[in-house]
Amino acid sequence: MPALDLKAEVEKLLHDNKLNLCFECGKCSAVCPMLDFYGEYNYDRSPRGVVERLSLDPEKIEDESLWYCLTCQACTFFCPSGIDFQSFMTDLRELLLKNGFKKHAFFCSVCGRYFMPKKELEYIKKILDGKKSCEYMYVCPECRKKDYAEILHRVAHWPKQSIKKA
Amino acid sequence: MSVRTGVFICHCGTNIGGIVNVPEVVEYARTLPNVAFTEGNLYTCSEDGLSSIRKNIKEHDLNRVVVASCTPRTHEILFRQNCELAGLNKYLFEFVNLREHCSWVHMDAHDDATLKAKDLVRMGIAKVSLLTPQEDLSTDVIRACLIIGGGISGLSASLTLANQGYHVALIEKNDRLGGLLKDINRVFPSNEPSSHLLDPLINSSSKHQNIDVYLEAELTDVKGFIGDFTVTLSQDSKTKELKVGTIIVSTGAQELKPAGSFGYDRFDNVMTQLEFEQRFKSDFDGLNRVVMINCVGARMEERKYCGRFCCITGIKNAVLLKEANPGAEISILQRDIMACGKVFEDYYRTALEMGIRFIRYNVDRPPDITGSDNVADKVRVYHELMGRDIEIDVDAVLLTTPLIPGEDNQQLSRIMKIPVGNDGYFLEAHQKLRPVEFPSDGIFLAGCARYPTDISECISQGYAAATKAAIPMARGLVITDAFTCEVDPSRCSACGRCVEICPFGAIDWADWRDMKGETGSVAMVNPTECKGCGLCSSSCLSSAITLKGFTDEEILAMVNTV
Amino acid sequence: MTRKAALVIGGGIAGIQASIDLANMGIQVYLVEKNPSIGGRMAQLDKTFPTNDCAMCILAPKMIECANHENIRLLTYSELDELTGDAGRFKAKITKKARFIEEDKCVGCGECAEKCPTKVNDDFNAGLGKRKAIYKFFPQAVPSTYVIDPDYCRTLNGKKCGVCEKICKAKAVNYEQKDEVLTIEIGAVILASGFDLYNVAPLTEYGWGKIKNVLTAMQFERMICASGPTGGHLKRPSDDKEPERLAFIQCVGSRDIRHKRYCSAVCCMHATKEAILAHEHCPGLSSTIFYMDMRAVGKGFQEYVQRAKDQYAVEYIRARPGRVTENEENQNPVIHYEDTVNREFRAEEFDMVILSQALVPAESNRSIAEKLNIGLDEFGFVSNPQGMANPFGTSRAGVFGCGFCQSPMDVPDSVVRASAAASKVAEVLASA
Repeated sequence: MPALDLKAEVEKLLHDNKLNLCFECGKCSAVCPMLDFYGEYNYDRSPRGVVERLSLDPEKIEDESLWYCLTCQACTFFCPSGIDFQSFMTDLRELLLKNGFKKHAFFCSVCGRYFMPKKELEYIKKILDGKKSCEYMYVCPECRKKDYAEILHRVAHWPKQSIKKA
Repeated sequence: MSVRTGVFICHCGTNIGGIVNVPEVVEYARTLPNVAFTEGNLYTCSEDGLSSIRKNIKEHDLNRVVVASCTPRTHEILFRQNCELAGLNKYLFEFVNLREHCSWVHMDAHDDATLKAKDLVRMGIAKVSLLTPQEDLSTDVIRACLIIGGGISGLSASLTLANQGYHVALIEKNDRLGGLLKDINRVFPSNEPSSHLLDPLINSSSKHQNIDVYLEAELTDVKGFIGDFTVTLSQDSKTKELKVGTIIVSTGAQELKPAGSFGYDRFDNVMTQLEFEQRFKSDFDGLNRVVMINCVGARMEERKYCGRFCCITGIKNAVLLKEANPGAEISILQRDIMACGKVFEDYYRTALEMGIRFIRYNVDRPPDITGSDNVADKVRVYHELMGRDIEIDVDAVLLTTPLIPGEDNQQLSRIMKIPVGNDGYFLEAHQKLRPVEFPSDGIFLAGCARYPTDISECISQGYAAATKAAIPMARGLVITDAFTCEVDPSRCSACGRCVEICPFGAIDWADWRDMKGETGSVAMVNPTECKGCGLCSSSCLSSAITLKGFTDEEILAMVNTV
Repeated sequence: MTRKAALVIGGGIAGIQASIDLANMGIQVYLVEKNPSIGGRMAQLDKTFPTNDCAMCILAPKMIECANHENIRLLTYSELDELTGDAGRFKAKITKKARFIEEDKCVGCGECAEKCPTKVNDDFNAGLGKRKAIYKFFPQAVPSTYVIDPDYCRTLNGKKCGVCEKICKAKAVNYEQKDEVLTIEIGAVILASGFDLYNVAPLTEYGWGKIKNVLTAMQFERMICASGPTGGHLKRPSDDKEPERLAFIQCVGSRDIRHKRYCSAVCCMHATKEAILAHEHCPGLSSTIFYMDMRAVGKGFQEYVQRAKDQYAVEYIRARPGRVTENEENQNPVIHYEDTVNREFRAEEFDMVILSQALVPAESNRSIAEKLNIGLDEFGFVSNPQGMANPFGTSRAGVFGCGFCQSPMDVPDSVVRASAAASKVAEVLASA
């Protein structure tokens, strides 16, 4: 059972992200790529299902269903009511991590910051399936960029300032 | 002079032409007696078709015209007018109903439909030869209007007519003007007090020199017809007679009290939206958790219609509650939110923004209200879109009920001989294009007497009915169709069947002296009120009544050709 | 001295009703319509809800009454240039565009259009059919005079042709005809400019314009109309086969913050009607209507929806579909949606998909409002600063609005507003 202040914070997030404007029309679920991604449709993982759990079953806040969203923005783009579900989801996960609900999240193997949900990573690994080295998948884009910049640096022998300028 | 008939047969697009072989019927009509001209048209009612009628009446010296097309209901006047424009008496015209009596009912039998079309056309041609020229009747119109009901619709109609210079008698059965709106605190979507809207109207109509207001007055009798009605009022147990040219019915409606549903009788804190407004005005102390249940007594087996604006009424009260107490938890249990148009959809959105919860319930699994003693404290409802029961604690439950027809509707319907529909509301002449008119001339309809109507629409309908009433008053006279019934007094046995049966109250008793000099009462038709329906003539046991344009000889001529 | 005359802008059902009422009250009416015929949007409809009256059958008599009324002067194919003066004493300048046809000579026989070599997309048929460069707006047009489209006519664009002039026995064709400017004096103005159809192409998720068997509601309406491009035969654009399963998607562009926030007010009933009519055309056919709220609020509307379910195989599913794709084998559109009542995801194949597109205030509203000097709201509807107390008001005294140009409304409401605005005009003319 989450602490009372967490429940209040979740409610504030719902409110700040205008989730109360929802018509419950179902367009978000219909454009969500979860079907293509996970091979099945599951209402609990859909935007409406997520909101329902948060408001009616607060004890299920540790549930994995909150960690399926790919934050791809399809629902945000198509929502007729103008709800930014993607940013809500991002805020929500930040809040959950802050409160120690980390079991469904994956963290960058280099910097240790939150990278993506475990489910998502598993799926990407399945797609890549040995075709390429999966190692890079454990490193967040920030760290990857840094890595890449260093390589560039070594190869090109550019003076440090010019890179900064660019 | 010999009969020269012109026959025009319409394809009505594919309505007739797609089923009946029209060219074949045209060729057939050409062979019939007395036919001097025949033509098929894609649409006889189009300017092409009409100009052809006019042209050919002159060119072929036609003295009878038959049009075989859609329905006389909408088109007879038009074709008659065009006969008249070409100099032919408009009553020398006969309509053959090929669309509704033939093509539409025999869609699957093309050949038989064509055969039947030939029969119908032959019958029409047989009848038209016997028709005789008739003249229309004209009646003067008194420049005064009776408006029944002093709600927002009646007030709007009164003021605009008075401002246009007509005299208005506004009667209201209650002791004050304002109707149902007077009981409402604030109005959607502006949330302003209803008095802002109503008081100026009440004040100006009470002062207007062209308006006589009769409060606590009841209509007891209406005699006469368009242009010349005599109405009887009773006020203070006295009766008063008024002479008016037109009548507007704006008697409004009443809120449904849902006896027996959702603990309405059991719990003190379960009430209708209107009861809530009257009980709490604008002091909402102690109302922190409110549930509203929509469609109570509407959109169900016993009462099929939608109350049109009850959703918005509920939203208005929810918004007012929330404005007064932003922490209040308001849930609206609904089946569809009827926020049609621009303003209401925005209003709905405002409610969502304020955090008012909308929960969709299923009519087959209605919400359940529980409580102890006479206080409801919990609502349990199956959330249709989540597929689960949820429980809500409540301080009050508001039942959103539709309007139901006024209790006087049946009585007024009898007094004025105006129709009431299955739903108990007054029935207009045509739902689409004549929404504020009755089938009987000179009587019009506005506001919730017709169907639940929001305030803007009530005002609009008041103005619209006023326009319709102003038309005959502006002209100063009305012209009525000549195809009416006539009693042959020498044959009338004064049995009274026709007086009873006439739906328009057009038949009355009159004194008559027969050839032997004996006096007695006979039935007499007032041609201005008669609509030519023929009920009296077909029910007359003495064959004393004839409907012009449908005499026995004419009908038998049709029968004999079959 | 007040002029007992009024200007009505827009010849749809609202403008027609307002004109007839005013004229019957003894007021001289100038009815200005930008198209070559009066009739408006209602003329495009096959039948009307909830009575299933044929739209043309109840509209045509009114159009003709307008044309024949001694107090109405029809100014079709005309536009307002400017309005000066004040309530009771307005002066309006109106341009009557050149038809290149002499109105008093043309008998509407149509031989010219038969021989005209230039084919043009027919807007009246929502782009489904073709008309010629010389054309009658629609078969029952009032006036029935033909008109030459100056954008497409070969002769008017300096190419060799002149076929219509040669063929016309009435000698009505006149390529030299010029626009004519009229000045009229009136006491009041009624604006009844109606609506346009929202362009659904930007809603790419529904595939209109890419998937052949996805049509707009107006295209479908023209298709089931006897005077439409298929003569009233219901057939799929991809293969001319009679469809067996139809789907209607509601709120396409309406109730959508990305497009039009408001509810277009008529589409729930319009789709229901089209589904009923489609069933009448093809008795084996069934329809599915995807809706959010079934807004059937008028008199007899609930009963109509019930009848659709019980007798016409119409199914209502509460869902706002996500996208429409095409099954390439049979060109069937596939609708991807979540049934919100069962919380299940489905991809369902239909023979045809009809999009109930949003209705928007007529595009011409902007320029008319400028000339009338009245305000519009953010969507282009006529704004009404007087609020509820005067539902027909605009920001200029003596100018009134009625019908869809005020806010979304159906035919009966438009007719009521039209008659009501007529009373307002009569008041102005009586008092000024």
